[in-house]
Amino acid sequence: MKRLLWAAAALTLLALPLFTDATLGHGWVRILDFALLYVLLALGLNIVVGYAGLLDLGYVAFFAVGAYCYALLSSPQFNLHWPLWVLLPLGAMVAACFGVLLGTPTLRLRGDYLAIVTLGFGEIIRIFLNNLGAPVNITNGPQGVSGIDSLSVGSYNLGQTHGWGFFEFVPVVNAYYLFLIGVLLAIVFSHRLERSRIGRAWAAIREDEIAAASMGINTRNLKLLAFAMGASMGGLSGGLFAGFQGFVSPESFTLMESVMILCMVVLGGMGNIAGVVLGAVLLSVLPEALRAAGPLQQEWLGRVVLDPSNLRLLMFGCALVLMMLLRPEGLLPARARQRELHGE
Amino acid sequence: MSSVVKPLLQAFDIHKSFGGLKALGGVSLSLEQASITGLIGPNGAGKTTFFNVLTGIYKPDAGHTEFRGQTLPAGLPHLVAARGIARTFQNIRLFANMTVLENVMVGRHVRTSAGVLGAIFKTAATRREEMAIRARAHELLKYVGIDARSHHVAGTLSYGDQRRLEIARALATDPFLLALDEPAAGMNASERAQLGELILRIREDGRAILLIEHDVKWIMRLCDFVTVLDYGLCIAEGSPLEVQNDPRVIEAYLGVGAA
Ligand SMILES: Nc1ncnc2c1ncn2[C@@H]1O[C@H](COP(=O)(O)OP(=O)(O)O)[C@@H](O)[C@H]1O
Ligand SMILES: [Mg+2]
Repeated sequence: MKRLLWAAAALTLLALPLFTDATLGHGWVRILDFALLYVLLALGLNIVVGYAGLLDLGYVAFFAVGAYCYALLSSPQFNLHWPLWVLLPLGAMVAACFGVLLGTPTLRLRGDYLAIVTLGFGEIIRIFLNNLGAPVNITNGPQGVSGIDSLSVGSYNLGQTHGWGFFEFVPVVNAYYLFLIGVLLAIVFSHRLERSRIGRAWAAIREDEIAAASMGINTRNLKLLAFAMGASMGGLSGGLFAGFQGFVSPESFTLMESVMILCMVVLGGMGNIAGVVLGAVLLSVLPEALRAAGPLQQEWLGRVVLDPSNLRLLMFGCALVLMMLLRPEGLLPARARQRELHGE
Repeated sequence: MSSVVKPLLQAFDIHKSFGGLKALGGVSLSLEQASITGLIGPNGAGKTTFFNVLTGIYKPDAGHTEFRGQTLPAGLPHLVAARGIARTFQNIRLFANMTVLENVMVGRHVRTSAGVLGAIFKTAATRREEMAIRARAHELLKYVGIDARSHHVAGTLSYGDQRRLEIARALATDPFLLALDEPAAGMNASERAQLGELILRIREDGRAILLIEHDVKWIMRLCDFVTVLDYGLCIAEGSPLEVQNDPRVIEAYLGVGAA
């Protein structure tokens, strides 16, 4: 029975992009692709926020680092064209280094202070990317890097359409499968980390840092490890994003993105993988669905009464307020979080 | 055995102030191997502060501590734990939302080594280690008598059981010295007696115990040595009998005529 469920879930995940492509079109598959990138980001942030209990409001910086890493080494910018299997791990590793770089000065900070410093870090990275166009042109400044090589695994170029028998694998569908692999890996890694000696140490730090240290946990190293692990998933997501879009610019990496990723983690239920995945999917897919509200109003009311983008923000705000009132632990909370907020 | 066995721990002239308040004004203390030493004194005498300095939570303003022939690192609690000193807290500090078993498993952290790669790839060594951690945690829970509660959430345990759990968690770090900060506070007479038995058993296993306690009768019965702090100074030390009859102690702590 359980096996049957797993098989059904696997089949659904595999068939989803083909089905969506056939019914709703490329645009919706693209939305699914972005949902997967957001899931990857949310899983990474979950390690920092959910497992180790450290607030990070600049998380998008690691996404940016991964994206630019890919962009600069696989585009006409420096005329480098490194392969995917080098670029993705490299991006994850560079992002992890930045994670440690951010983590180090924030080790003594907590709560509000930590939030503000991490927020600043996110902005600094973006500003750097914006300004490293001159005098030596590294990032091409606000124009960003374009002409990035499309994702390709060996000789299989994911940026081209491949027909396999009855099925047609368009670029957005190809990307879906690659991203899905990334997400599944991230889920397995998160799950195993959570249940390991390392995960227990993170939970202990989250619960009581002094008690954790007194039990022999090196709180400094474990916090840095959480920052690094979280950042590496952000970096991986960034690399995939760059190869998928073929273009990156600093404006993709604003504070709003960090806030959005944090909302995904909090809304879904921080510390719980299923919750985080749900939160990321909901918050990345629902706003897109709301776009349809414009044409619908036109059709039914004769004019657009409520601008869809305003409607999105309105719904988003309402959802968050409702969540904080009714279910502060998130939709699918981790056991421990639920206890923290509601007692037993 | 000669009588000049080197002490397990020697603290030399520990000073610690908070702003203008001198919490410790030069405390020296020596602990024997596998002994039970009581640390007593009125409220605010500096007992907990001494624990915090000893276990690295505070850095002393002056003074140092030798433990098993080496100087203890100051202000680095995780290294102190690694050297073999474990503690409990006056106001219980469990990982309240984790299960009882998980709390004790955290205590094994310092004696185990699985890292990120081991966790992610679930190597044979990691799985073995994880099983050993679990087995040892259960063993310790049995030892303190709360194994039946191993899957309960730590914060839901009764007060007495929480104290026991804190001791089990501390024992999980394989300490040579167990420092207990008022472990009997809030316990009734029978719980106190049970706790006393547990402490004696821990000593029989070869561990030394440093014990802060207010119940003078209980501590006099349990301890091999007693040290009395008052206003951050050590005013007396010796066997329970000696200390009990020390006029300074009677005046400062027991109240004139109490002994
Ligand atoms: N973190 C701190 N900051 C300021 N004062 C402190 C701190 N910890 C302890 N003290 C003060 O130091 C003195 C000794 O406290 P403590 O060691 O807790 O005493 P005891 O455990 O013997 O009752 C008290 O006057 C207390 O108020
Ligand atoms: Mg005290």
